[in-house]
Amino acid sequence: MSVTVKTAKEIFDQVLNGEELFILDVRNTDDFKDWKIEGKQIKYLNVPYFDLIDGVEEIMDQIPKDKEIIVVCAKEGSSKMVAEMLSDKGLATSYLKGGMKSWSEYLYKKEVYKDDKMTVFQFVRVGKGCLSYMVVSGEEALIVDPSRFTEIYKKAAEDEDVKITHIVDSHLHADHISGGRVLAEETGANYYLMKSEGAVFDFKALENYNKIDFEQVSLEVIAIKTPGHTPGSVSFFVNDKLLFSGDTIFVSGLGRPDLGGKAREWAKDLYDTVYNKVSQITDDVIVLPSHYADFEDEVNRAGYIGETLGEIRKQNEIMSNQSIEDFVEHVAQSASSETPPNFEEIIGINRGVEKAAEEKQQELEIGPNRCAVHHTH
Amino acid sequence: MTNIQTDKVLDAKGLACPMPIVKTKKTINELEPGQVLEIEATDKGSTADLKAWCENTGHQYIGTVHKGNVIHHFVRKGGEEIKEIQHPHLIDNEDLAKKLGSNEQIIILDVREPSEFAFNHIPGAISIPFGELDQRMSNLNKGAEMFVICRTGNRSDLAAQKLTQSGFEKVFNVVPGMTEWKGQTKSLIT
Repeated sequence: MSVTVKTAKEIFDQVLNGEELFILDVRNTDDFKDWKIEGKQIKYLNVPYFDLIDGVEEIMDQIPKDKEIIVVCAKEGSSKMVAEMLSDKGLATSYLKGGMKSWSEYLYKKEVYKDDKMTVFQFVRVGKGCLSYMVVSGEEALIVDPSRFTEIYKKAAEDEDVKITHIVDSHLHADHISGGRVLAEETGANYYLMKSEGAVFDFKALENYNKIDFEQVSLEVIAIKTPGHTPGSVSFFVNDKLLFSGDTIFVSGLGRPDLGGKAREWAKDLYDTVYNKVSQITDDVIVLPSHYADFEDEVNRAGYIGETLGEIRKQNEIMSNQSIEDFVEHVAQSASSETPPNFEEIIGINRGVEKAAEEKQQELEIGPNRCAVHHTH
Repeated sequence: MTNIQTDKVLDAKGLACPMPIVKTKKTINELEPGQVLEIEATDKGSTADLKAWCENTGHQYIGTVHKGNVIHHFVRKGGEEIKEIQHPHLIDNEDLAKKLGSNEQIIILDVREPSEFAFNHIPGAISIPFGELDQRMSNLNKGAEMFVICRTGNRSDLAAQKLTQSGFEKVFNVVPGMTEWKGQTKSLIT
């Protein structure tokens, strides 16, 4: 049987369709434990490729004969070798093109909102759990929290026949390298970031803006001192319909307070955000966060990551009728010791203090998303 | 190449995964147990994979040195026959550490391979790999108190026997050896 090659997109489409897949992951066990292709219908077997150099005989009884087998590794080479061995045994086998590196870089685009004033697209970075957005209105587009794959946003803008004129980062990201600065250079768009985040290049300080207006869109900057990951993160309230919540509110809970090393202080600011600002926002507003933890758990019926504020409030008792003391205690206790891989270097790059070539950027970003480790209920 | 002496060097530069490990596996078959292979690679993933492969196969992963774009891995082939320790005079790691702390004049003889010594050794230890002991023992003082150490106490046992037979009078085998050494160490890797 011949071996077929599958792209990250093709495999993710299969995951979305709920297809039953069998993934033979031939990376070493630590990497597999750290992160993998996630899906409720996926069965896994992890055997490092270096245990299979002499052949696949020893694992044949662990491999189903009636299912498609997808072999994955870090970059492609080893999965190809193992896929060919399985294929020689007569099994229908494919391997992931570009390996987990390409899985980490794949963005899935989905329209999440449309009215007569704007259309909003969500970009899901499935391998890392990061979300970014494009708000289109008239002939312009605004990008929220772009990843470093700037071509994807430029292409998306081209498909809509609009020009990217504004780019915003809700906070200085610790888990992935922001594409904001590069995308601004490439498109001539304005790039906004909180000055308190410590970036050293030219940008527009969000502290100076209450609103960003373009075409028929008004993006209200809800700037609350929330030193979570870093000293200043903000949310954006768009046309009284959508809330880009950054890392403060997720579909299944509140953001994690620990990366700044000041869990309690941050928790008080988060309380202020939730009880004094977000509490003014109505239940029907849709919350669009910048992260999720589990796609299949958090995806809604419409097929994107997002939820009405009312529903999130209902699911998270902590968001209403709590004393500040109880709230702080609860949030501080959720502080986790697991940090995103290489977060200090990534923060350095996003501030413009450190530079890294593309290969280095890939390396730093590889691995699981640990920003959306959160508590629920 | 590094200046660390090994038994064989494998050039796996420019090769992508899985080839560095495939070639390592093939090349190590040509070595005797206990001999050391240096693998020159450029694939960054090779470090974690080689470590894990060594764990699964019983080879000893010694360490990795980065020089420019080249990654040099050192692996000592496993499968050595492990004999019961015979040399009667033993000293455990803790007692050796105490002696070191007391400023006594002592000789620590490290009989591991040069690459193992290069990555970590007790400061002041003399390096004579077990295979070179016959030629080089004449440089050592037969009357001095001598503490022979290796990774786990096996090579040092053989070395201690050999030294005693050659007329050395106060030879101790350090057990368990460097694997459990908690005291200060020095590395030649920069």
